[in-house]
Amino acid sequence: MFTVKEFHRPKTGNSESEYEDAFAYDGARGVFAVADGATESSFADVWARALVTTFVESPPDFGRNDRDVMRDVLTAARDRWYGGIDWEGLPWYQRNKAFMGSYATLLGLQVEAEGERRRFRCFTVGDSCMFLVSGQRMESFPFADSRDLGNTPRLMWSGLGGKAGRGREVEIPGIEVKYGWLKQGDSIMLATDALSKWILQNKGGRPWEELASKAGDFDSYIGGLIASGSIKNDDITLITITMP
Amino acid sequence: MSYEAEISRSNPSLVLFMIDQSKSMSYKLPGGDRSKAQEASDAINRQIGEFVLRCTKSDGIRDYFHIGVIGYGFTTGKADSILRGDRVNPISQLASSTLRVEKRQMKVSDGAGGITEVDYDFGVWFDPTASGDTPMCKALGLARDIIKEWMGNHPSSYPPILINITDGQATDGNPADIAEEIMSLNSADGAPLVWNCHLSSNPAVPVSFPAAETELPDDKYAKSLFTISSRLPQQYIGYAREMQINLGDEARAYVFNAQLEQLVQFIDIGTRGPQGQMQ
Repeated sequence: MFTVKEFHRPKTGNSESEYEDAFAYDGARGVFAVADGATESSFADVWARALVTTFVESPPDFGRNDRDVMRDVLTAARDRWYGGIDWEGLPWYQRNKAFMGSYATLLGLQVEAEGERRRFRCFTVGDSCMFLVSGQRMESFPFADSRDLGNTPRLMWSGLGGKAGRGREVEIPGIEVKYGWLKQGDSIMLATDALSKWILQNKGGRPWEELASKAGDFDSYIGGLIASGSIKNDDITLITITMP
Repeated sequence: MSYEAEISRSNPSLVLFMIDQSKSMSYKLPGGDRSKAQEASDAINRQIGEFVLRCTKSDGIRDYFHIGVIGYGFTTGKADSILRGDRVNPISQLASSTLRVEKRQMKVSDGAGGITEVDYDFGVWFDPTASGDTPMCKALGLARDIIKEWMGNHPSSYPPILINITDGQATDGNPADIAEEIMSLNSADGAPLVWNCHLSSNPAVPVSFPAAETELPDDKYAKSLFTISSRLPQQYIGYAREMQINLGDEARAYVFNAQLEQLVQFIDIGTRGPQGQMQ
C-alpha cells in the first residue's frame, strides 16, 4: 500500500466553495489525479472534478496507448460535466458563459499497485507538476525550471455546452507523458501550479523536506508563504504518495 | 506605477459610459448598416454583457465592476443616467435588470478545427435614441460627480474609466474644464481615464490614438475632443499595439472619424485594462 497525504486550500480570501482545483485518488489501485480549473471559464470546478474523478474511477490499462487513454478520459469526463450542470435552469448570463465550455489542467498518475519496483505513467495537460523524490534527488515533470510555468498553460476543454455542444467531437489537446519506475522509499508529490512553481524555485534546497517538516500545521505554513508573496495567491493542491 | 491595482470584490472598479443621443446620431455610421445611435448603443450593451460574462462564476456573479451609462441629448439640454436602478450599479445587479434579452448568433470554434454558429443571449440595458442637442458639458458634470463620489468611497481602486461616444461638439459650452477636473482627480493607483470616440458621418480616414493635434485634420471639434482625452498609460499602448494599431508613446485616448470598426476596437481597448487586473 502507498501512504497518501492530501492537502488543499482555496485562494486566500475565498471560501471552500470557491476552490476550483480538484483532486482524487485511490491508493489501493495506484491512481492519483490533480486538476486546476481555469477561473476565466465558468463551471471550471465541475470540469476539474469531472476530469480527476474520471481518471481515478477508471484507471487506464498500462498497455493502452497514451492518446487513447486521454480520449477515453475526455469522453467520459465530458459526459460527467454535461450531467453536472442544470442547463435549462441557468440564468441567461450564466448560460452564455457556460455554453463556451470549461477549461482545466489535468495531471494523472498511475502506479503499479504491487512489487518492490513499480512502473508508473504520468499524463499531463498544462502546468500541474509531478515531483519524484528518490533519496536526495528530485526529478520534476513536465517542467524543470520555475520560469517554464507561464500564464497560459495548455488546458483540457469540455467542448461547447448545452444541447448543441454535447454531440460534437472535441480534439484531444497536446499531452505530455512520462514513464518510469519507483523503488522502495521513493515518494511523489503532485501539485497544481502555484505550489509547483515554489517547489521549482526552491529545488536546490530540498523543498520536499521543508514541506514534510511543516506537516503539523501545513495550512498556516502555506498561508504564510502566500502572505509573504513567496507563493502566488491561488488555489493550492498537493498529493504526496510514498512507496512502502 | 499606476493602473496596476488588483480588481476584486473588495476592491472593485468603475466603468462609466457617456453616449451622445442627439439628432445627428440618427445618421448611418460608415462601415455598418445602421445608425450611429444603434451601433453605439449596441457596442455599449455588448460591453456591459462582456463585463457580466467575465464576472460570472459557477456560483453567480462577482461584483468586480460597477457600471453606469449617461445619455445626453435625448431631450434638449438634458443628461441623465439611462440604466435602471442607481446611477452606478454593481455588475450583479445589472445582470438582473436588463430591458430584455435578445437571441443572437455568433460563430465559435467547434474544437475540431472548424467553426460553428451558436445562439447566445444578448442583454439590452438601454435602447438607442437620437433627438435633441448635445449637452456634453452637463453629461461630463454628472460624470464628474459620480466619479468623485465613487473615488471617495473607493480610494485605492483601479482608477475609473470614462468612455464618451459622440459625433460632435458640445452645444452647452466648453467641456475642457470639466474634463480636466475629472482627469486631475487621483486615486492611489492614478487618475481616471477619459476616452473619447468621435463617430464619423462620412467615409473620411479615421485617426486612432493621435499623439499630437497636428495629426488631426483642421477640425475644431476634433481638437476640442483631443484635448479632453487622457494620455494612454503604457499598458493600453501595449494592448493597442497587440491589435496592430500603430501609435506613439504619447498617444491620447481618442479616435477621430471612427467608423464601426474603430468604435468596436476603441471600446475593446478602453476596457481591457481593468479586465486584465481582475483577480
